Amino acid sequence: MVSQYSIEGLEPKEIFKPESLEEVSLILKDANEKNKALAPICYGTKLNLGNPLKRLDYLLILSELKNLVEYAPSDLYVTVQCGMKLKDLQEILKRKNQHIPLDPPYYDKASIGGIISTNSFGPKRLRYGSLRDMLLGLKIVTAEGKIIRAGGKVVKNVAGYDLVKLYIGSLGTLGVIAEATFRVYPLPEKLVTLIVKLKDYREAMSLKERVQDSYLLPCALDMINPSLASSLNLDGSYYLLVRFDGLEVDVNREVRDALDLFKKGGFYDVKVIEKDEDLWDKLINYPQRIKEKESFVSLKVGILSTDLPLLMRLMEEYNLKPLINYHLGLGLGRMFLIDAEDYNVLGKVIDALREELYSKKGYLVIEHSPKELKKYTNVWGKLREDFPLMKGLKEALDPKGILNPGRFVGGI
Amino acid sequence: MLKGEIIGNIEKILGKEAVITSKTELSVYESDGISIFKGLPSAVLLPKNSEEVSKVIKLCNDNDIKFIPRGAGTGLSGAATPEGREMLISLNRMNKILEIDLKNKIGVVEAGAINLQLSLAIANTGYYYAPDPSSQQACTIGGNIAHNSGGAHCLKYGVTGNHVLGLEVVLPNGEVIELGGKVLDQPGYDITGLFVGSEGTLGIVTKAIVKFTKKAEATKTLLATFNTIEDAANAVSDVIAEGIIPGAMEFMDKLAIEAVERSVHRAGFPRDVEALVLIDIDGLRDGVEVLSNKVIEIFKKNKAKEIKLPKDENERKRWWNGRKQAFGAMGTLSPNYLVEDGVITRSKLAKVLKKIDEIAKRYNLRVANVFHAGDGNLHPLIPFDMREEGILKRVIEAGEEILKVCVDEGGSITGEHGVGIIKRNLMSYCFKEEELEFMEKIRCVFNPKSLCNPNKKIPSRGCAMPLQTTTRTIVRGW
Ligand SMILES: Cc1cc2nc3c(=O)[nH]c(=O)nc-3n(C[C@H](O)[C@H](O)[C@H](O)COP(=O)(O)OP(=O)(O)OC[C@H]3O[C@@H](n4cnc5c(N)ncnc54)[C@H](O)[C@@H]3O)c2cc1C
Repeated sequence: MVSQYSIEGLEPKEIFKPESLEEVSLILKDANEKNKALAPICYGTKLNLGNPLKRLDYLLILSELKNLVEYAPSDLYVTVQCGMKLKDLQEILKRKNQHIPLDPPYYDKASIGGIISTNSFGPKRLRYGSLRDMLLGLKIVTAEGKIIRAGGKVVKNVAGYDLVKLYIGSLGTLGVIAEATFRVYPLPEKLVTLIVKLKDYREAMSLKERVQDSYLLPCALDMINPSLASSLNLDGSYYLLVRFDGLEVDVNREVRDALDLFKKGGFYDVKVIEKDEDLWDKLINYPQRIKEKESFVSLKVGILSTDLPLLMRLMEEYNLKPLINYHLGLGLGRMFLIDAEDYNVLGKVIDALREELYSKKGYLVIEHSPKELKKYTNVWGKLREDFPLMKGLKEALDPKGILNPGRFVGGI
Repeated sequence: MLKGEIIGNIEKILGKEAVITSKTELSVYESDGISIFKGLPSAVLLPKNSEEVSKVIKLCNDNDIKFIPRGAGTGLSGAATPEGREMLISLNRMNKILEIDLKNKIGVVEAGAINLQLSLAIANTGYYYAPDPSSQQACTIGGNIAHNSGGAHCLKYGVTGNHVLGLEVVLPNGEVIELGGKVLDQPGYDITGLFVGSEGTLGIVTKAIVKFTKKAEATKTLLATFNTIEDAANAVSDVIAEGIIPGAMEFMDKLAIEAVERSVHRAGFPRDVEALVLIDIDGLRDGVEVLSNKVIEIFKKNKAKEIKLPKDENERKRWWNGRKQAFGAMGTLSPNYLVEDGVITRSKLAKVLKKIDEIAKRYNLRVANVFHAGDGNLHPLIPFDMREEGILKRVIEAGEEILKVCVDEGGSITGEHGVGIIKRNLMSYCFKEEELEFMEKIRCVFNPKSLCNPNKKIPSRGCAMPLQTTTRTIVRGW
């Protein structure tokens, strides 16, 4: 029998739902003393990310740690417990006309802690950066149950090592993230998206350069391929999505001039979407819309936009037909495969793709897949030469290896 | 002292002219920008490439010789100053800009490259390298990385760490490895992020991949003067509270203005005021107008005496130069000065500046304040004359007391200059013992024998057991 608490088939032996930091600390102390493998989770939106756990004893559900700790609108920071959903936090900030310009997938379900542990991001990263650029401080419960602070609430701080950076994206393998302090930003007065119809992906590359060389400052610059476009009720072509945000005067001018720029380049089929929240929500949360499908695979690719042709060529060569959302200015993309059947073959294809991507300093990570695919290929790809340091850090900070054992890079 | 044999071996690796051992020449290296701490190195080495750095470090590691990486020596915390005859590994000869990739807005530089050179190299492209420490004409990218340096325009555009994508480093055992890369989010822990700000205690940076930032379409500079420190401070707090993040927002009080106006960098600042705020509002053309008007309103509400626009580009440059040269200008007030580097939340500026004034009075010292106000990053400068009996102790104590106020107000003892030697004592004031232990564990992973910049940044407690480095499958990240 598979309970609702099983993680890829592993059943936890005990389940904890702490309501305070002190409780978290006690549970970790206990786990560490007894050498119990512990998996911290919140709402379980990304439990599938990473290698299968090597072992599991305690499941630590952090969803009750969801309070607002401190909000200082005039100092532009907010501190929350990590079980709070990003969506709920944004609601609080909105009352003061502020927000955090982070638009990751599972926006309405994911917790702050989960988002930080997986370094989640969305298209707006182009203008606003990622968690690295927005997080001011963290409170962490270590593998040994100690409560330590990293960073703080001021915007500059170089006392001590920058542990905040270390914990972002560390997938719960170095400690439990209990509280986070973010910079907050004023809400944009206006948001507008231009949807530019393209003949092929190469047009996206050249348009990206034109936009980059102009004064325009889009907050997102995304290419979608025909199959993903269809799922957004656009016809089956390539599209460039250009999103502007900011003061109304600026956005109005940018939209006008961007339309001009596109026309001059021979792009006449451009839709202007004023209420664009829905569109982006659908695009960013594509995985959520199809998650029911057993065989759904989501891949994150890192490849510079100048090397995009390689990625596209590989898709043809290996006859892969993913839905592709590529963030042009970032050099990062997501690819979704809905109907993969033969995981053995797919695993081999992924390995082959990786070899090619490595030659361009890129990579490919499996963000979501049926467990079966993980039998045939590795989730994270090849180890890089800094892996011994990663392993060293893991051994130093979680000496018994109780935190999410095995899940991260190289089985950390 | 070093054994002649070891120096001989180093000379074989680097060449004789790349090894400095004569006492007169060494004395140039006995301190960084904070000259109150001095210590002679046993030798200064000038390697030309990562391979040479690696070979030398291996030799040091094998012979338990301590060493310190050094850039331009402009640091303000003593982080590159020897305390026990360490060898200095100077990166000055590794100063090349290796690659400018304009399509991807990325540059690759050697660690000894001078900060300003990088922006100059891409002048006229519409892009620049954003972190702009006031010392940018001299300081190196490696030093910037080691301190996670900021600068006036880091308020809006972020500090060094926000612009570094990857590194090549030589670990304290001599291994050369790459961290991060041109492509974002390389799988695994963000060791690049951890390295930034580590003050040379985790290894030596030899190369860096950095990103370039688009120049703002429009910039409007305003100079506002005030009759009281409090009004000026409140004006700054109110701008931030309004959610306006200017390109830069700097603060100078009367004494700082006086110093600049007496120096060769005279900027033409009004001298009959208690404080001025120098601000760059930048962004898209129309928005800049909208925001400038809001800022002007806020300044007026806070009783600004005068709000000036520069007459022309020359005047604008003079103002900014005056601000950026303010530390150096302290020489017009006294032979020595100590600069502190506390950070507070921005609503507390007025309150903390008042406390600083009280502390100075109590110690019978003067304080000049010139700082990155928009960031809440204070730089109280204490001018003094070393020849005065007992003064140094007083100056240091006053400085520490100021920083304690910052911590008590929920801030930090250092925003950009680092801990180095000078703030080591205060680390236990900001961190609990177990937090310091935790950081020490991290240092031990990289620097198990504590040979690389020993005892800086975090008071050393020693490492339990050196961790074994395993053999590696290698994917070169870039
Ligand atoms: C007038 C003046 C104004 C200043 N203004 C600012 C400012 O606005 N903002 C700001 O942040 N700072 C400022 N500083 C401080 C200083 O310039 C910065 O800290 C700068 O980054 C130091 O660079 P450097 O090359 O001189 O480093 P150094 O002083 O040589 O070294 C500093 C630290 O970096 C380490 N280090 C150097 N190179 C490497 C390397 N390759 N690998 C690993 N570690 C290395 C050293 O061991 C040492 O710990 C100012 C200093 C002066 C004198």
